[in-house]
Amino acid sequence: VSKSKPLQHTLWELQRRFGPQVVGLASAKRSTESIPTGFGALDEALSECGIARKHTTAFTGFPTSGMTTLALHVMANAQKHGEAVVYIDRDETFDGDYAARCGVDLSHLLLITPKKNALALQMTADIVAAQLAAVLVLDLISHHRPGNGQRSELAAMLHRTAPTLFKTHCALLLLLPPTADERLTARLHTQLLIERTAWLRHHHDVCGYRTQITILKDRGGAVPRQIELDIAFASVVEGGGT
Amino acid sequence: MIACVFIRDFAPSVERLAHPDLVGTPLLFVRYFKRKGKVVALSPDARAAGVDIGLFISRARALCPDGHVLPYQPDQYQGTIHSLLTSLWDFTNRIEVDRLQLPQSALCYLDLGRLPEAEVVPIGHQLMQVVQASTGLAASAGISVGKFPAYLAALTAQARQVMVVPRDDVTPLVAPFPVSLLPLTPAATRKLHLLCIHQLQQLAKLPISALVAQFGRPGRLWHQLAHGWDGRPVIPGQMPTTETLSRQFDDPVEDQQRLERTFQQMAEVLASRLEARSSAVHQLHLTIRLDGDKKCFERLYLLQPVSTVSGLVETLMQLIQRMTITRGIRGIEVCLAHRVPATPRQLPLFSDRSGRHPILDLVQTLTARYGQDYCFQAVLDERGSLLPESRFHLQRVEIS
Repeated sequence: VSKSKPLQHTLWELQRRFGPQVVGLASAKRSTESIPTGFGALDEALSECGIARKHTTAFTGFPTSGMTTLALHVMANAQKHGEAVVYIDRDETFDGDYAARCGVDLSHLLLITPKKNALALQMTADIVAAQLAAVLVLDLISHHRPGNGQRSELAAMLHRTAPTLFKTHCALLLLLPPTADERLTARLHTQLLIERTAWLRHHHDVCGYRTQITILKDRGGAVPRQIELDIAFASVVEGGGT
Repeated sequence: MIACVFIRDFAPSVERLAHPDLVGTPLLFVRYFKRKGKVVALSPDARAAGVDIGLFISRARALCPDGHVLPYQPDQYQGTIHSLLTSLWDFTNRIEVDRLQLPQSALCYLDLGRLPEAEVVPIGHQLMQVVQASTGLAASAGISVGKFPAYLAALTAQARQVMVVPRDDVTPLVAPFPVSLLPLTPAATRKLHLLCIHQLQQLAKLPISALVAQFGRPGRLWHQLAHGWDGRPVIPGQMPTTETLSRQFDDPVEDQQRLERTFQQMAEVLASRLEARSSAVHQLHLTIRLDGDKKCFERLYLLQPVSTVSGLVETLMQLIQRMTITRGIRGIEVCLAHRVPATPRQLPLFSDRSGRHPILDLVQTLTARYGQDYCFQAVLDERGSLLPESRFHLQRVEIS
């Protein structure tokens, strides 16, 4: 206690002279520069209270685990403020009807379907450099195979793009299969592992699924934890954290 | 253009708003001079009973025995005047309050500068709305080329109505009003009465030299006002140097997220006020009222003034972290002090794309580099169709 008091006094003195922003605890930093996911439990767990702008966030998992749903919700929340959103659909699996049910305004969504991974990465860098998009989703769920060198290309692109991305208000979302590539994960601000744990049934019909989200990495300082979400296939997709 | 906002029966209306049980009772507001009470404001029903401003309390009681006598306390109405001015300062910072009209009525002149004719009436209606929202009182507004014709227009207009008097219609408007509306001295009032000059049109017909000979320099002004010509400028009062906002909670707040949300909402309100005044603040005072009427107070002086929502929220969070909160929070009061003009910032003159959506610029950029084969837009066809391929289709985005 005797050591912390002078430190506290020094901090107050610095804040008094130069404003409160000059010093602060890293753990106490809660930036407003984020886009909410639409799932309250997940937003609370993330250090930025949502998906961080100016950084790269990866949703990793297998198909039908809820990655795309989560990404569509983030896009819908960004569109509420009139911001532009872009979806790079390398897998060509984009479902416009489902996106509309998630709340995405299709008239203000730009869908890009590149035929090659290299082209997708190049377009991603160009879109970031244009500084016009608020959310950029790069869907590579089915087109990444471990060990074929693509991850290193992706990591190199992220490395090149990071300074430009930091100057924008864009949140770059990657949809990837589970990965342990250190070169790639080192470039990420946040990494979420999304796993479907159960199908939700109503009588004999599947009406949704339960997914478990594990925060593998969060540079903002959130404690690693797991969240469970129920995603229902209703006319309006709804999800609630447990 | 000058706008005049006029609230009739100001003190009785404020009192009845605070105490609804007084509605229907004649009200007499009395100020005591040397242990003698004089009426300084009254409600319309008391006026109908024969009471007038300036009567002694004994005479007023004799005329209106049912009247409810209230001591006039100027501080009691300062809050309403402050709310009124705070709302009007969003329109202009050149506002003059006619203190002589208080407390019977509230009268404010606003210098709106040069306005296109099409904008005059909408601004008048907006004035009425903000006055109603901020004070809960019904006002009337007059807009004209000078203070005096604007005042007469506001007198003529009904409550919650706006009357606009163009330059050419000023003289016919002014003509039938009594001369007592002019800023006359008691001696001049008596002299005009003896000369049988009761209306402004009678005064306007007199030669200006005769008025100057009788009344001196003020005679010239009265002659001009009788014609509706008023070149007197609006003399603005000083804007408040502090901005205060408070929130009360029915149930004590013990949740940090709820507290942060409240701070965010308060910061948005305060930032919008600062933006309207083009100012920033150096000092933030935070007062927290805890359960059990215990209070915590902290303040911070900032070297760099803040005016944005994020800056205010961050500073408030810093302030509350200095406090020792041991109980639930019942109320929050934020006071912004030491206001200074905000730092000029670059207007978006070159980045403004006149409402064009950024996606179109993005498509243009990508098309120029990669061709037109990659950019698409999803268009819904048959929602809910059993065939997934018939629910929507992709349409190539083309820039015309």
